[in-house]
Formats: sequence, structure tokens, C-alpha cells
Amino acid sequence: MSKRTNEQWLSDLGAEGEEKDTAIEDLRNIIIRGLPYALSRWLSPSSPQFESLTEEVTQETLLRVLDQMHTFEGRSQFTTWVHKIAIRTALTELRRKRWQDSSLDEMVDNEEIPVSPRILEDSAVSPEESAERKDMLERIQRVIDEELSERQRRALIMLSVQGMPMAEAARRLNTNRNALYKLLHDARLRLKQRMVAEGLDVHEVLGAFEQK
Amino acid sequence: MKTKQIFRKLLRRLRGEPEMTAQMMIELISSLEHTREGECSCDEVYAIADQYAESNLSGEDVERLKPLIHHHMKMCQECGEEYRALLRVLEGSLAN
Repeated sequence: MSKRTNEQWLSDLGAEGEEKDTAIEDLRNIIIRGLPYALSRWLSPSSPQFESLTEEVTQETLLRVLDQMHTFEGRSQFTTWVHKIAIRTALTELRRKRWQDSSLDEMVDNEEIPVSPRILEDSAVSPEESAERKDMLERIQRVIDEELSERQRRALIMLSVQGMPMAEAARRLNTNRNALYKLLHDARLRLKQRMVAEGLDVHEVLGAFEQK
Repeated sequence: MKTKQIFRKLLRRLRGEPEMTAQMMIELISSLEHTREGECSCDEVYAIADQYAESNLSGEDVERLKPLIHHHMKMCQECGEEYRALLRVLEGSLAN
């Protein structure tokens, strides 16, 4: 496989016939070689899922690259840009599958989401410290209840309590990942400002809940 | 508690929606420590992630040169994961 410059990649992929077919085949091999590194924290190449995921991701990435290559600005190697697209595609799919599987497991196990404030049941803290924690938690709960919109609360529950991937949470909220991050950023900013107004110091709060 | 909040809470219970756990509240407070007014969005970070990764691997001090991108990678778990995956791919290609 010959090494191409960015311009050559764009020209060959934009051509017709054999030139284009060869470039697509070369790009396919580059994506396939990169995926084991990209997925190494989640999936071993010997896993039964690996081959089908790699095939699915490679196909999808090639389609996206051909569709979006006019947006490539040449600020990196073309192949780095392609790997970025492959990684987004692969991890979005992997997160969705993992979350679906874990949700099914939870249904089978009939596990309930823990709502009891176990943090208050730390046996190493004195009754005074425990009372202080309870009081602090009630103040935080009040701030959260008053500052967060229902949509912000739902988003936080989906991501933190239910462990949902951002793409899935965004889909359920009828939005996209970018807007979801902004929604959560706005929530954090509101809480931070309110904590200051209430005289609640983040470090103090965290200090009160440090494990003994 | 204001009437609106009580009503919202009752509605959530009726719908069987989960409440925030104490642990989650603490984690949320913990994330406030690094919350800033002007943070980058996921799209802005994605647009530049390939260039940022190459600069990082070529030895540039990207944390100092692009502090907002660096900050977002720390705040946003999924963007951080994708960026680290990209670094592994590029390091792997360099090694071969």
C-alpha cells in the first residue's frame, strides 16, 4: 500500500473506477488496523464480538468519510481524521450495546436503583459528624431541587444513576450529544452560583463526606 | 420547599422515576470544583481532536496551548475516552 498525502487521498477518493476502489480498500485496511488499539480498553481482538463490530464500524466509517470528506480542512493527517471518525462510530456503538446488555441484566436480576443514603451509614463517623452530613445533604438536596430544571434532572439521572451513554440519553431527550453537554454545563453553573450564594463551599462539602 | 418542587417530586414518584442518590449528589458537587463559565462544547472538541492529538504526540504543550480543549477532555467522560483511544491508535501506528 502506497503512502498518500492528504491531497492524494482526497483526489483518489473523489475519482472514479479503479483509483477510487484502491483508495477505499487501502483506507479500509488502515481503519481495521487502528481499531484494536482504539478498543483495547473495552474489547479484546479475540472476543467473539470484535470481528462483527470491526466490520460494522469499518463500513459505517467509510460511508461517513466519503460523505463528509469535503469538510476535511487538512489540519491533521487525513488518516488521523478518519481514525477519529472510526473511534466515534465504534465507541458510540459499543457503549449502546454495553448499556443495552447491562439494562437487560438488571431486569433479569430485578435490581433496584439504590436510593438509601448509604453515605450517612459510615460506621467510622461520630454521631455529630453523621448529623452534620445529614444536614449538609438536605441543604444540597434543596439547592438541587430548586435550581435544576426537570430536563436537567432527567439528564443527570439518565447519565449518573442509570449509566446511560450520552447518545442514548440525548435521543430520549430529543436532542444531541452537544446540546446535552451544554444542558449539563448550565446545570453545573447554576448549582455552583447558588452554592456560593448559600455560603456552601465545595471543598467543605466534599471534606464532610470524605471516607474515614 | 416550594410548592412547585413538591409537585414535581410527587409527579416523579407517581411516574416511578428514580431519585438522585446521595452518592450522586456528592459526585455532582465534586464536578462543580472544575466547572467554568466558558467551556468548550463536545462539537468544538471533536472538530479539533485529530489536530490536538497529533500536536500532543509531536511534543507540543497542548495543555498550555489549548487549555479549554484540555479542560473539556477532563470534564466530559466520553470525549476524554475517544481522545485517549485516538492517541492509542496513533501511537500504535507509529510503533509499526
